[in-house]
Amino acid sequence: MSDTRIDLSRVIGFLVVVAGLTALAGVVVGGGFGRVLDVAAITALAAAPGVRVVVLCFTWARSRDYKFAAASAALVILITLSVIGTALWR
Amino acid sequence: MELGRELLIVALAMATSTLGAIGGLGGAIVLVPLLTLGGMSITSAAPLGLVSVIAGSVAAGRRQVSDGTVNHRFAVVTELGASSGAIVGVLLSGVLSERVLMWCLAVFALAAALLGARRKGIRWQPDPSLARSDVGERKGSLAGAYLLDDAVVPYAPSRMKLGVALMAVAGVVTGLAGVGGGFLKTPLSSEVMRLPAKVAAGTSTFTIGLTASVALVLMAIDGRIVASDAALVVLGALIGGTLGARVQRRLSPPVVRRTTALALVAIAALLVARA
Repeated sequence: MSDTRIDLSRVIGFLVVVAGLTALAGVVVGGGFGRVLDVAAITALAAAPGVRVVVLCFTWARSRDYKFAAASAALVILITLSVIGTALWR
Repeated sequence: MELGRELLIVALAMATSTLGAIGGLGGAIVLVPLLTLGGMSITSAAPLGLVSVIAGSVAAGRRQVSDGTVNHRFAVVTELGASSGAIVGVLLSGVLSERVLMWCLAVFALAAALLGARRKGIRWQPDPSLARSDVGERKGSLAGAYLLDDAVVPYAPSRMKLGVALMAVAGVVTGLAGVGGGFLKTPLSSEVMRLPAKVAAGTSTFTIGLTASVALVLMAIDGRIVASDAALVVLGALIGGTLGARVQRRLSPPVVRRTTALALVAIAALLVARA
Protein backbone atom coordinates (compact mmCIF):
# COMPACT_ATOMS: atom_id res chain seq x y z
CA MET A 1 0.00 0.00 0.00
CA SER A 2 2.72 2.46 0.91
CA ASP A 3 4.68 3.85 -2.00
CA THR A 4 7.38 5.54 0.08
CA ARG A 5 7.64 3.66 3.38
CA ILE A 6 10.53 1.24 2.80
CA ASP A 7 12.81 3.54 0.84
CA LEU A 8 12.31 6.51 3.16
CA SER A 9 12.92 4.43 6.27
CA ARG A 10 16.23 3.15 4.89
CA VAL A 11 17.37 6.57 3.69
CA ILE A 12 16.51 8.18 7.03
CA GLY A 13 18.29 5.39 8.94
CA PHE A 14 21.43 5.87 6.82
CA LEU A 15 21.31 9.65 7.37
CA VAL A 16 20.94 9.26 11.16
CA VAL A 17 24.01 6.99 11.38
CA VAL A 18 26.16 9.20 9.11
CA ALA A 19 25.14 12.45 10.84
CA GLY A 20 25.63 10.93 14.30
CA LEU A 21 29.10 9.57 13.48
CA THR A 22 30.12 12.85 11.82
CA ALA A 23 28.96 14.91 14.84
CA LEU A 24 30.74 12.51 17.22
CA ALA A 25 33.95 12.74 15.17
CA GLY A 26 33.64 16.54 15.21
CA VAL A 27 33.31 16.61 19.00
CA VAL A 28 36.23 14.18 19.53
CA VAL A 29 38.62 15.75 16.97
CA GLY A 30 37.86 19.40 17.87
CA GLY A 31 39.73 22.36 16.37
CA GLY A 32 39.27 23.57 12.80
CA PHE A 33 38.66 20.14 11.24
CA GLY A 34 36.26 19.25 14.05
CA ARG A 35 34.27 22.39 13.27
CA VAL A 36 34.05 21.37 9.59
CA LEU A 37 32.66 17.99 10.67
CA ASP A 38 30.19 19.68 13.07
CA VAL A 39 28.90 21.95 10.30
CA ALA A 40 28.63 18.99 7.88
CA ALA A 41 26.50 17.01 10.36
CA ILE A 42 24.21 19.99 11.09
CA THR A 43 23.84 20.84 7.38
CA ALA A 44 22.94 17.24 6.47
CA LEU A 45 20.29 17.11 9.19
CA ALA A 46 18.88 20.58 8.41
CA ALA A 47 18.49 19.67 4.73
CA ALA A 48 16.81 16.32 5.49
CA PRO A 49 13.17 17.44 6.06
CA GLY A 50 13.12 19.59 2.90
CA VAL A 51 14.73 16.84 0.83
CA ARG A 52 12.11 14.43 2.21
CA VAL A 53 9.29 16.63 0.85
CA VAL A 54 11.01 16.90 -2.55
CA VAL A 55 11.44 13.09 -2.66
CA LEU A 56 7.75 12.68 -1.76
CA CYS A 57 6.78 15.09 -4.54
CA PHE A 58 8.65 13.03 -7.17
CA THR A 59 7.46 9.70 -5.73
CA TRP A 60 3.82 10.77 -5.80
CA ALA A 61 4.12 12.26 -9.28
CA ARG A 62 5.69 9.00 -10.51
CA SER A 63 2.82 6.99 -9.02
CA ARG A 64 0.31 9.38 -10.66
CA ASP A 65 -0.90 10.74 -7.34
CA TYR A 66 -0.92 14.21 -8.89
CA LYS A 67 -3.10 15.95 -6.27
CA PHE A 68 -0.62 15.32 -3.48
CA ALA A 69 2.40 15.79 -5.76
CA ALA A 70 1.05 19.28 -6.52
CA ALA A 71 0.43 19.93 -2.80
CA SER A 72 4.02 18.97 -1.90
CA ALA A 73 5.40 21.07 -4.77
CA ALA A 74 3.33 24.02 -3.50
CA LEU A 75 4.76 23.48 0.00
CA VAL A 76 8.35 23.42 -1.30
CA ILE A 77 7.72 26.65 -3.27
CA LEU A 78 6.04 28.31 -0.26
CA ILE A 79 8.93 27.40 2.06
CA THR A 80 11.59 28.46 -0.46
CA LEU A 81 9.89 31.82 -1.06
CA SER A 82 9.42 32.40 2.67
CA VAL A 83 13.13 31.74 3.35
CA ILE A 84 14.24 34.03 0.51
CA GLY A 85 11.67 36.69 1.45
CA THR A 86 12.56 36.68 5.15
CA ALA A 87 16.31 36.72 4.41
CA LEU A 88 15.90 39.74 2.10
CA TRP A 89 13.42 41.48 4.41
CA ARG A 90 15.91 41.32 7.31
CA MET B 1 34.15 21.70 33.98
CA GLU B 2 34.02 21.86 30.17
CA LEU B 3 33.35 18.11 29.93
CA GLY B 4 30.57 18.46 32.51
CA ARG B 5 28.97 21.27 30.46
CA GLU B 6 29.21 19.20 27.26
CA LEU B 7 27.69 16.12 28.90
CA LEU B 8 24.88 18.26 30.33
CA ILE B 9 24.01 19.64 26.87
CA VAL B 10 23.97 16.09 25.41
CA ALA B 11 21.80 14.82 28.31
CA LEU B 12 19.31 17.70 28.10
CA ALA B 13 18.98 17.33 24.31
CA MET B 14 18.47 13.58 24.71
CA ALA B 15 15.80 13.94 27.41
CA THR B 16 13.79 16.66 25.64
CA SER B 17 14.00 14.90 22.25
CA THR B 18 12.77 11.65 23.80
CA LEU B 19 9.73 13.43 25.21
CA GLY B 20 9.31 15.38 21.96
CA ALA B 21 9.24 12.23 19.82
CA ILE B 22 6.71 10.48 22.08
CA GLY B 23 4.19 13.32 21.93
CA GLY B 24 5.16 14.99 18.64
CA LEU B 25 5.87 18.21 20.53
CA GLY B 26 9.43 18.84 19.36
CA GLY B 27 11.02 19.58 22.70
CA ALA B 28 12.71 22.92 21.97
CA ILE B 29 10.08 24.70 24.04
CA VAL B 30 11.44 22.75 27.05
CA LEU B 31 15.14 22.60 26.05
CA VAL B 32 15.60 26.35 25.43
CA PRO B 33 14.37 27.47 28.91
CA LEU B 34 16.50 24.72 30.53
CA LEU B 35 19.62 25.90 28.67
CA THR B 36 18.94 29.51 29.68
CA LEU B 37 18.53 28.40 33.31
CA GLY B 38 22.06 26.98 33.00
CA GLY B 39 23.39 30.42 32.10
CA MET B 40 23.24 30.31 28.29
CA SER B 41 21.82 33.39 26.54
CA ILE B 42 18.49 33.02 24.70
CA THR B 43 20.28 34.09 21.47
CA SER B 44 22.59 31.07 21.74
CA ALA B 45 19.98 28.65 23.13
CA ALA B 46 17.28 29.23 20.47
CA PRO B 47 19.30 27.77 17.53
CA LEU B 48 20.27 24.78 19.69
CA GLY B 49 16.56 24.21 20.34
CA LEU B 50 15.95 24.13 16.58
CA VAL B 51 18.86 21.73 16.02
CA SER B 52 17.41 19.40 18.68
CA VAL B 53 13.97 19.46 17.00
CA ILE B 54 15.44 18.65 13.56
CA ALA B 55 17.76 15.89 14.81
CA GLY B 56 15.02 14.39 17.00
CA SER B 57 12.56 14.55 14.10
CA VAL B 58 14.92 12.82 11.66
CA ALA B 59 15.96 10.16 14.19
CA ALA B 60 12.36 9.34 15.17
CA GLY B 61 11.36 9.32 11.49
CA ARG B 62 13.10 6.02 10.72
CA ARG B 63 11.00 4.02 13.20
CA GLN B 64 7.82 6.05 12.68
CA VAL B 65 7.90 5.65 8.89
CA SER B 66 8.32 1.87 9.14
CA ASP B 67 5.46 1.66 11.70
CA GLY B 68 3.19 3.77 9.48
CA THR B 69 2.80 6.44 12.18
CA VAL B 70 3.74 9.25 9.77
CA ASN B 71 1.08 10.26 7.23
CA HIS B 72 3.06 12.35 4.72
CA ARG B 73 0.00 13.33 2.65
CA PHE B 74 -1.76 14.64 5.76
CA ALA B 75 1.48 16.40 6.79
CA VAL B 76 1.85 18.19 3.44
CA VAL B 77 -1.79 19.34 3.32
CA THR B 78 -1.89 20.65 6.91
CA GLU B 79 1.60 22.15 6.65
CA LEU B 80 0.43 24.25 3.68
CA GLY B 81 -2.07 25.89 6.08
CA ALA B 82 0.37 26.15 8.99
CA SER B 83 3.22 27.57 6.87
CA SER B 84 0.93 30.13 5.20
CA GLY B 85 -0.27 31.18 8.67
CA ALA B 86 3.32 31.34 9.97
CA ILE B 87 4.32 33.70 7.13
CA VAL B 88 1.38 35.98 7.99
CA GLY B 89 2.42 35.76 11.66
CA VAL B 90 6.02 36.74 10.88
CA LEU B 91 4.80 39.68 8.77
CA LEU B 92 2.54 40.79 11.64
CA SER B 93 5.23 40.33 14.32
CA GLY B 94 5.19 43.20 16.79
CA VAL B 95 1.41 43.64 16.63
CA LEU B 96 0.98 41.86 19.98
CA SER B 97 3.31 42.17 22.96
CA GLU B 98 5.42 39.12 23.87
CA ARG B 99 3.57 38.88 27.20
CA VAL B 100 0.16 38.65 25.48
CA LEU B 101 1.54 36.07 23.01
CA MET B 102 2.95 33.87 25.76
CA TRP B 103 -0.40 33.94 27.55
CA CYS B 104 -2.22 33.07 24.29
CA LEU B 105 0.12 30.11 23.69
CA ALA B 106 -0.29 28.96 27.31
CA VAL B 107 -4.10 29.05 26.98
CA PHE B 108 -3.90 27.10 23.68
CA ALA B 109 -1.60 24.51 25.27
CA LEU B 110 -3.92 24.06 28.26
CA ALA B 111 -6.99 23.78 26.02
CA ALA B 112 -5.19 21.16 23.91
CA ALA B 113 -4.20 19.25 27.08
CA LEU B 114 -7.81 19.23 28.27
CA LEU B 115 -9.11 18.02 24.89
CA GLY B 116 -6.63 15.13 24.86
CA ALA B 117 -7.00 14.16 28.52
CA ARG B 118 -10.80 14.11 28.70
CA ARG B 119 -11.21 11.59 25.85
CA LYS B 120 -11.43 7.95 26.91
CA GLY B 121 -10.57 4.72 25.06
CA ILE B 122 -9.26 4.19 21.53
CA ARG B 123 -11.04 5.81 18.59
CA TRP B 124 -9.63 3.61 15.82
CA GLN B 125 -9.77 -0.14 16.43
CA PRO B 126 -7.51 -2.83 14.89
CA ASP B 127 -8.90 -4.62 11.82
CA PRO B 128 -8.01 -8.37 11.88
CA SER B 129 -8.61 -8.63 8.12
CA LEU B 130 -5.65 -6.32 7.43
CA ALA B 131 -2.07 -7.60 7.09
CA ARG B 132 1.25 -5.94 7.89
CA SER B 133 1.63 -5.11 4.19
CA ASP B 134 -1.43 -2.81 4.54
CA VAL B 135 0.47 -0.49 6.90
CA GLY B 136 1.07 2.95 5.36
CA GLU B 137 -0.80 5.61 3.41
CA ARG B 138 -3.59 5.16 0.87
CA LYS B 139 -2.70 6.53 -2.56
CA GLY B 140 -4.86 9.53 -3.52
CA SER B 141 -6.38 10.04 -0.04
CA LEU B 142 -5.49 11.03 3.51
CA ALA B 143 -6.49 7.65 4.95
CA GLY B 144 -4.01 5.01 6.05
CA ALA B 145 -3.22 2.24 8.51
CA TYR B 146 -0.61 1.95 11.26
CA LEU B 147 0.92 -0.80 13.36
CA LEU B 148 -0.34 -1.05 16.97
CA ASP B 149 1.47 -3.90 18.77
CA ASP B 150 1.09 -6.63 16.12
CA ALA B 151 -2.32 -5.47 14.85
CA VAL B 152 -3.03 -3.17 11.91
CA VAL B 153 -5.28 -0.18 12.61
CA PRO B 154 -6.98 1.61 9.69
CA TYR B 155 -7.96 5.29 10.02
CA ALA B 156 -9.35 8.16 7.96
CA PRO B 157 -9.02 11.77 9.17
CA SER B 158 -12.10 13.99 9.00
CA ARG B 159 -13.08 17.70 9.40
CA MET B 160 -10.08 18.64 7.25
CA LYS B 161 -11.36 22.10 6.26
CA LEU B 162 -11.82 23.11 9.89
CA GLY B 163 -8.52 21.47 10.84
CA VAL B 164 -6.47 23.19 8.13
CA ALA B 165 -8.11 26.54 9.02
CA LEU B 166 -7.16 26.02 12.67
CA MET B 167 -3.64 24.97 11.59
CA ALA B 168 -3.39 28.30 9.76
CA VAL B 169 -4.48 30.14 12.93
CA ALA B 170 -1.91 28.14 14.93
CA GLY B 171 0.64 29.08 12.26
CA VAL B 172 -0.15 32.79 12.69
CA VAL B 173 0.29 32.54 16.47
CA THR B 174 3.51 30.53 16.23
CA GLY B 175 4.83 32.89 13.55
CA LEU B 176 4.07 35.85 15.81
CA ALA B 177 5.73 34.19 18.81
CA GLY B 178 8.65 32.60 16.93
CA VAL B 179 8.02 29.06 18.22
CA GLY B 180 7.68 25.79 16.25
CA GLY B 181 4.15 24.96 17.37
CA GLY B 182 4.36 21.17 17.62
CA PHE B 183 2.40 21.45 20.87
CA LEU B 184 -0.50 22.92 18.87
CA LYS B 185 -0.21 20.75 15.73
CA THR B 186 -0.37 17.38 17.51
CA PRO B 187 -3.62 18.04 19.45
CA LEU B 188 -5.25 19.70 16.40
CA SER B 189 -4.45 16.63 14.29
CA SER B 190 -5.61 14.22 16.97
CA GLU B 191 -8.66 15.95 18.46
CA VAL B 192 -10.00 18.07 15.58
CA MET B 193 -9.05 16.02 12.50
CA ARG B 194 -9.35 12.72 14.40
CA LEU B 195 -6.01 11.23 13.45
CA PRO B 196 -4.94 8.40 15.81
CA ALA B 197 -2.82 9.80 18.68
CA LYS B 198 0.33 7.96 17.56
CA VAL B 199 -0.07 9.01 13.92
CA ALA B 200 -0.74 12.61 15.02
CA ALA B 201 2.47 12.56 17.09
CA GLY B 202 4.54 10.93 14.32
CA THR B 203 3.21 13.25 11.62
CA SER B 204 3.74 16.32 13.81
CA THR B 205 7.32 15.18 14.55
CA PHE B 206 7.96 15.27 10.78
CA THR B 207 6.33 18.70 10.16
CA ILE B 208 8.03 20.44 13.10
CA GLY B 209 11.37 19.20 11.75
CA LEU B 210 10.51 20.93 8.48
CA THR B 211 9.51 24.18 10.21
CA ALA B 212 12.61 24.10 12.42
CA SER B 213 14.95 23.56 9.45
CA VAL B 214 13.57 26.70 7.76
CA ALA B 215 14.07 28.73 10.95
CA LEU B 216 17.59 27.29 11.39
CA VAL B 217 18.59 28.39 7.88
CA LEU B 218 17.53 31.95 8.78
CA MET B 219 19.51 31.82 12.04
CA ALA B 220 22.54 30.48 10.14
CA ILE B 221 22.29 33.49 7.80
CA ASP B 222 22.42 35.68 10.93
CA GLY B 223 25.50 33.73 12.14
CA ARG B 224 23.83 32.69 15.39
CA ILE B 225 24.82 28.99 15.43
CA VAL B 226 27.72 27.78 17.61
CA ALA B 227 28.72 24.63 15.69
CA SER B 228 30.50 22.88 18.58
CA ASP B 229 27.46 23.18 20.90
CA ALA B 230 25.10 22.27 18.04
CA ALA B 231 27.08 19.05 17.39
CA LEU B 232 26.58 18.06 21.04
CA VAL B 233 22.84 18.69 20.67
CA VAL B 234 22.82 16.59 17.47
CA LEU B 235 24.35 13.65 19.37
CA GLY B 236 21.86 13.89 22.24
CA ALA B 237 18.81 14.51 20.04
CA LEU B 238 19.63 11.65 17.61
CA ILE B 239 19.73 9.24 20.56
CA GLY B 240 16.65 10.86 22.15
CA GLY B 241 14.60 10.83 18.94
CA THR B 242 15.42 7.14 18.32
CA LEU B 243 14.61 6.29 21.93
CA GLY B 244 11.36 8.31 21.91
CA ALA B 245 10.08 6.56 18.79
CA ARG B 246 10.86 3.15 20.35
CA VAL B 247 9.12 4.10 23.61
CA GLN B 248 6.11 5.48 21.73
CA ARG B 249 5.77 2.16 19.88
CA ARG B 250 5.35 0.32 23.22
CA LEU B 251 2.82 2.75 24.70
CA SER B 252 -0.92 2.45 24.17
CA PRO B 253 -2.70 5.37 22.41
CA PRO B 254 -4.40 6.56 25.66
CA VAL B 255 -1.00 6.65 27.42
CA VAL B 256 0.47 8.64 24.51
CA ARG B 257 -2.47 11.07 24.79
CA ARG B 258 -2.07 11.46 28.57
CA THR B 259 1.71 11.86 28.30
CA THR B 260 1.18 14.56 25.68
CA ALA B 261 -1.45 16.25 27.89
CA LEU B 262 0.95 16.27 30.86
CA ALA B 263 3.74 17.71 28.71
CA LEU B 264 1.32 20.38 27.42
CA VAL B 265 0.47 21.42 31.00
CA ALA B 266 4.21 21.69 31.75
CA ILE B 267 4.69 23.75 28.57
CA ALA B 268 1.81 26.06 29.56
CA ALA B 269 3.46 26.59 32.97
CA LEU B 270 6.79 27.39 31.27
CA LEU B 271 5.07 29.88 28.94
CA VAL B 272 3.31 31.61 31.84
CA ALA B 273 6.66 31.80 33.68
CA ARG B 274 8.24 33.42 30.59
CA ALA B 275 5.32 35.86 30.30
